[in-house]
Amino acid sequence: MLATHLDAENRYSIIRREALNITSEMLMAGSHPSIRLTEINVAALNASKEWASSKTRIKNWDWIGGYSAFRFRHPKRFEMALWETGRLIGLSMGRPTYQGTALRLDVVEASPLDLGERPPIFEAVLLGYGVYARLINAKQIRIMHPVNDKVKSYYEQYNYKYVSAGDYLFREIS
Amino acid sequence: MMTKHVSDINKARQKKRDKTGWTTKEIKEKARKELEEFKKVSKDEPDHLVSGDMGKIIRGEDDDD
Repeated sequence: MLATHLDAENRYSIIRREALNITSEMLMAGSHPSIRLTEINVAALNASKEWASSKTRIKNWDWIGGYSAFRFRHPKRFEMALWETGRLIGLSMGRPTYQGTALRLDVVEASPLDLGERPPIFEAVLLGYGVYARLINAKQIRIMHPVNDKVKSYYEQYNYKYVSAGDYLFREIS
Repeated sequence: MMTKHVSDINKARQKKRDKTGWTTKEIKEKARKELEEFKKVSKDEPDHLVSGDMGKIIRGEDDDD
């Protein structure tokens, strides 16, 4: 790893933790006191293995391989693991665009419901991305590659606009 | 020149923000407002909330514009 890469990893790690702390504080004070946030750590990756046993999961993703590749390439990334009563209920990771003007939400997955009930996760996810985007002074959030029309319509309810050329939805930070 | 309107103050704040970013206090205020806004939408969350292309990430393919 280059020294500049390591330096960026260390600097942005502090910003990531600050974003998770602020988001947690807001969730605790708001309507989701039961949701806890962490970085995507070993415990989160181990817990994600259980999702492979779901019969309803629509993407058979390997979070261990995916996170490892993403972490290696993107020291400025944002990441969050969502927990409720010690159970993993969601994972997400994203990164700033190379221009730094937008923050991409590259991947998000909620735990499959056949493995247990859970609250909706996306408002907590978006809240976290909003906080991180403002901490790094990004002007826009982009949700990359919605997997189907149902999910895309849901994002549009949050006032995100779809761009077919890049297959993403965006909303300006104001 | 003295600022007379709220819109002037907002413009000045935006200009300052473009240069220096957001304060923690401003970020928390925005988050509080967003949480209120999001609450109304979250009840419609699809059962299978998934987005992204993990294959591209693992293969190292870049789709940044």
